[in-house]
Amino acid sequence: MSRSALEFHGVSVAYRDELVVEGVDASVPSASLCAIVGPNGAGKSTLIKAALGLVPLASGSVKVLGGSITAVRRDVGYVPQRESVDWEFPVSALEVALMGSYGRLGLFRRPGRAERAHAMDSLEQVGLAAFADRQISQLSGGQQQRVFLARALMQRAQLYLMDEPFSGVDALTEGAILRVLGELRQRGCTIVAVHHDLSTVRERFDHVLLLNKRLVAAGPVAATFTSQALQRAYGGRLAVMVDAAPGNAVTSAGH
Amino acid sequence: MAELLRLLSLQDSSTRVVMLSTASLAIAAALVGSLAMLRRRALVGDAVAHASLPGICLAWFVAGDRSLAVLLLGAFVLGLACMGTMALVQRLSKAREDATTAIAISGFFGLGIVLSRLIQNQPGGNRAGLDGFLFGKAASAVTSDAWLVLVVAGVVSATVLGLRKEFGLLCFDRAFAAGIGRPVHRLDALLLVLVAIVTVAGLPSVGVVLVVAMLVIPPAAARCWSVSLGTMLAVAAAIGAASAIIGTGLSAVLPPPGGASGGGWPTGPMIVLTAAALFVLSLLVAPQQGLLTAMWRRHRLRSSVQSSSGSMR
Amino acid sequence: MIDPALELAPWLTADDLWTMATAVLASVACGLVGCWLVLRRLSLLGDAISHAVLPGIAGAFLLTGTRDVLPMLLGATVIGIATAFLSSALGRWGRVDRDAAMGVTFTSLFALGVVMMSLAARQVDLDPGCVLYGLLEFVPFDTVDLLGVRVPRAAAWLGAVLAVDVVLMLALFKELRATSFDAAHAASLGIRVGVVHLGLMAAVAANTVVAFESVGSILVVAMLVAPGATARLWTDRLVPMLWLATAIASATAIVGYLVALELNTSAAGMIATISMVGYVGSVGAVVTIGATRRSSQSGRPFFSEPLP
Repeated sequence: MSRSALEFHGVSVAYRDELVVEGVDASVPSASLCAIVGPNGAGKSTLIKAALGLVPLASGSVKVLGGSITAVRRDVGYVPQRESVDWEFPVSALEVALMGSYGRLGLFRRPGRAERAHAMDSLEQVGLAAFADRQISQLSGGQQQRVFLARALMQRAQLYLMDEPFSGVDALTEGAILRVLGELRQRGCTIVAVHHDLSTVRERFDHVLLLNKRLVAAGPVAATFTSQALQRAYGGRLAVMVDAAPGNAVTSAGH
Repeated sequence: MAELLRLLSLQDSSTRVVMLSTASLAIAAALVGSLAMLRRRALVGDAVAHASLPGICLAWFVAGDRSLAVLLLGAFVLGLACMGTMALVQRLSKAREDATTAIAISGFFGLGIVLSRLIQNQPGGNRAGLDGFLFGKAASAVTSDAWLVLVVAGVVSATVLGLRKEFGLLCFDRAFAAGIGRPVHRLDALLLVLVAIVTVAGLPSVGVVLVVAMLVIPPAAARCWSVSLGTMLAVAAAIGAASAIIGTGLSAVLPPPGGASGGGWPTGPMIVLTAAALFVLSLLVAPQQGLLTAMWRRHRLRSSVQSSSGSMR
Repeated sequence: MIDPALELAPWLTADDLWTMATAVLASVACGLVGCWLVLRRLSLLGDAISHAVLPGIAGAFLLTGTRDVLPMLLGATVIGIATAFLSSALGRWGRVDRDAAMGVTFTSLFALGVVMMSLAARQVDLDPGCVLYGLLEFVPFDTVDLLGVRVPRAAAWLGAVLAVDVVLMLALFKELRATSFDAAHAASLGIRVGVVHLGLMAAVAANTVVAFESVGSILVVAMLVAPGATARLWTDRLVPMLWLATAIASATAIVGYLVALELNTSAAGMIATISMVGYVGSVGAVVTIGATRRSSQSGRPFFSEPLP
């Protein structure tokens, strides 16, 4: 198997008659925590969907865990943006976590006792075991986000693709999510997350893709996440002093 | 052919009034429908239309009068009652709006069927008059009724055009409209009342089931052509009027399909089909978003992507 | 099965009971499929499909010249799926919202159906009015022999459709739940979201066609939407919701039929009316119970917060 968990080769994606991702060549090393960063409309979510095979490619190819997505789908976990979810749907937190096992179960087969135990474990990991029977809309935004993390954990994947896992969550949830992501990486999993908060990229991630339709820069955070690269990604609209004072100088830009 | 020309040139005075009233109603419906669509209330008219059937029956029971004005008044009252119930259900519970609308459409129509069967059972009760409301029969409308519809349509159109700015703001950004002191609740209510009025006024010509088409299809077609509210209203009104005139004309002059004994072409469906044809045309050839136009642009994009990625390798 | 029931309710005839059984089958079959429409916010698509099957039925009739069920079922199912497809395509291409797109699609198709029916009127009496409100009362006059028992043809068809519905729902329960809740995630698991959607639309269309002959195309909407929407008000869990919807569907059909019999009026119309009354009543009851619970917890009076 290759050393890269995820490779993009000249990937372009079009919606209707407009290119939203153009000729991206990049790779994400195994067992890394990678952030995809860029302004609004930069194609960050689209790039993740392209990796999952959820949008057709206009050109190029994607290698996931060394193969095509259809072959390794079971080893890829996905946490979509909050908008894709029907919050009024009648499911409990435990049932949402159980959905992580659906990919492995065939027709007519329902999740059994083993899956339920595992789903409870996953909820336990994100600190929500006590809320297993709550309907999903009765949880707070941060708790909902953690339930989705539990659903991804349920998949026992090697690669996790997350679309803004930290959007709209409080500090407590942020800490819980980060702890889980850290544990996953220790086990050799790769995490790729769309991320909006530039001030926290350095402390949370070790790899970064800077995107603005085209790839601006990619590589280890220390070497790649520089003010010049950010200027290029955000088109100079951003006064950045990342190098001077990491972690506090940059305020949110892409919201 | 000669008959069609005679009809379209409006030489016959009663045809002229009927045609004029149907066309003016279509214009009013297109104007109100555009706003309702932008306010995401496209199918409220459908619920009102179906609720009008029990309204007509109740008016028959209460007034014992068969004049069109009385029956339509009953339809209007029940239409408002239907919208009021829907709004109340929406406000009080987490019930889904689409489910509420669907249940209202079906439930009120069911009530109408129940009542009309009861009328049928009564001595002297005859549903023939009510059946006309299901599919419409503009071609045989009485001149005095046509005048009534003409006046109603005129008032509605004038209201929409007069309050165009306010309605536009309401549809685009309700919170902002409220913030600068516009009476958004009253505007919303007024829009719904206007929807109820044009729906009820359209019943005699287009019928219960299809009258919502006059509220939905011309605005949807106009959407393809326009980027501003003003042009959208104008194009919708034009498409509505054209469908009404062509549809009524066709149903009047085409040789009846069922031979001499069978009824003629049903007016309502002919108007709707004309509007649908204009919609499809708009969808295909509109300059900004037309399907054919977009396919051409996409084709150009794809070839440019392929040639550029080819040159990179 | 019929005889003991007759002893219990001696004022009913065997025909009454068969008609009632047909209504219950139609209501339960539609109600179960309809739960998924309600959950996916597609209730109005049920309305659209039930209108739009008219040209499919008329077309099948014009082509074959008979009123056989199979060609009509096929024609209507095809048009039903086309409605779902056209509505979403129009929504995307015409940049109109989903409601408006459905409004355009189903009124156009329904108008086409009425015109086609006027064409067919020369050959046989197809009354568009009957299409709208059905002829539940005539169900017992058209029977087939099933294992030695004379069963109304409509009841046999509806029973078969209900069985297919139940098997499909058991087979695809996970997939239906996952795609309805979070389509993006379901797709990432490799579930064919589009195929599941198409299958649901086909089921709705098939149910509508089989049920509409007895209850009519507009009233079938009440059977599709009301049980699921009403059940959803009372429970936050999926499986209880499906059971409750089944119970509500049966109860509405029975009560509606009995009331209509008493008043000597349209049974299908009465079932739709009772569905609506049950829905509005449930909204009232759930709101009142919720307000009572809140006020007893916090000592606040009913509706202490101003209505929005």
